[in-house]
Amino acid sequence: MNTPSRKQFIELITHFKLATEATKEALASDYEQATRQDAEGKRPITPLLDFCMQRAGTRERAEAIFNHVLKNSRISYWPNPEVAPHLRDNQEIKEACSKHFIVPVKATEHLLVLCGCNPHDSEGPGAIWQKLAGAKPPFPVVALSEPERIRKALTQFA
Amino acid sequence: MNTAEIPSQTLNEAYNAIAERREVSPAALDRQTVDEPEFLAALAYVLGIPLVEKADLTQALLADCGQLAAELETAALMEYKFVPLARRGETLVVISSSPWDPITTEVLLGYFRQCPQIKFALASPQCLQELFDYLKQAEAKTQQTAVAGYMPKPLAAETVVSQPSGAVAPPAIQPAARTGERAPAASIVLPPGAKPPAAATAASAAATAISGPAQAGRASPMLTQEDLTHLMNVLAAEIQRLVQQKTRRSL
Repeated sequence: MNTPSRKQFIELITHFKLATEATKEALASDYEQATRQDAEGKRPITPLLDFCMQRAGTRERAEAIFNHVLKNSRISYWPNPEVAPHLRDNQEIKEACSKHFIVPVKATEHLLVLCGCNPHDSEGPGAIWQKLAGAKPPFPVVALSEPERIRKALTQFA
Repeated sequence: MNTAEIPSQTLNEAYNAIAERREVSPAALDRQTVDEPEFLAALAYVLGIPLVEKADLTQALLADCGQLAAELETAALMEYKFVPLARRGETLVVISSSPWDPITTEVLLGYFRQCPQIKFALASPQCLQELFDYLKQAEAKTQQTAVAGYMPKPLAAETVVSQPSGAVAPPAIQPAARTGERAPAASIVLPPGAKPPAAATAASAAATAISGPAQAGRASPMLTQEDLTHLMNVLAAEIQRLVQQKTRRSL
């Protein structure tokens, strides 16, 4: 588990009591296994937020987890993430986006708006930004969206 | 985008970001060479919020906005330059062309009391105008439906009475108050920009009918207990508003 995921993991399991002190490492290990399986299956890597929401027990509690993350982060929200049309055929971007579970919703000469699930994650946006940066790199902005919406958007890649 | 409305610190940060991106010193940056897309991108970056552009006004986004904006007068949205986009738990996400304006936040907190957290997306005034045009069309359609025979339900009696005595009243900043017009009585109980519920309009129409001569061929309108409760609510809210105004004046 990378550092941003670890941060989010600690925050969510503590706040929502998803695990006890005794079981949290087992839960972390479950997450590691899930991400390994995603990588092997060449699927988008399940974000930690999604993993925690799946273990929330009820839909209401899952929503509460998402709402907590949104409320306590400094980033804004994007309701309908869609991959910027001109990037949908770009396999390099697709791989980076699947790995970091991030969607580039806007990528213009001046601005790159990315939608992700972990406000602590700067590695993912940084990786995509670097791939898209030309001589004059665009201004990066990251917003939050629901994992299911991002997952759906990621299917827009060719 | 009218840069005069932007706080100087934000403006300077935006130009500094542009200068850094162009690899020139902020002092050497010729601001005349910065076009609107670059400026808006820099502004979104320094504010840390996404930018909504005309291309983003998809049916899905318009539907999201329309749903939340349906409770508010489009004129009020235009006055305060925002459109609510999404509500997630206690967080409200709003598209605004002036997210730095404290009045915008104050108005939003007054209306969406269940959302103490406001987050923004930036839009240019032109883009926001397109959004308003769409909302106006949607509003006109709703009104046509109402005229075509929709009879709304009466206003719930507890609308105002149920407010705790210590409840924070919505900010008394209304477009009408700014222009010096007098707000209709039915809108007094509502937060700024809130649409008077159709029931309130119906109640006010009933009141007008009572004060005027009875129309031939129609039964005399009767005030029900619910109507009376509603009128009491309007009166109570008006008293509260006047007391608040006086309190403010005395400060």
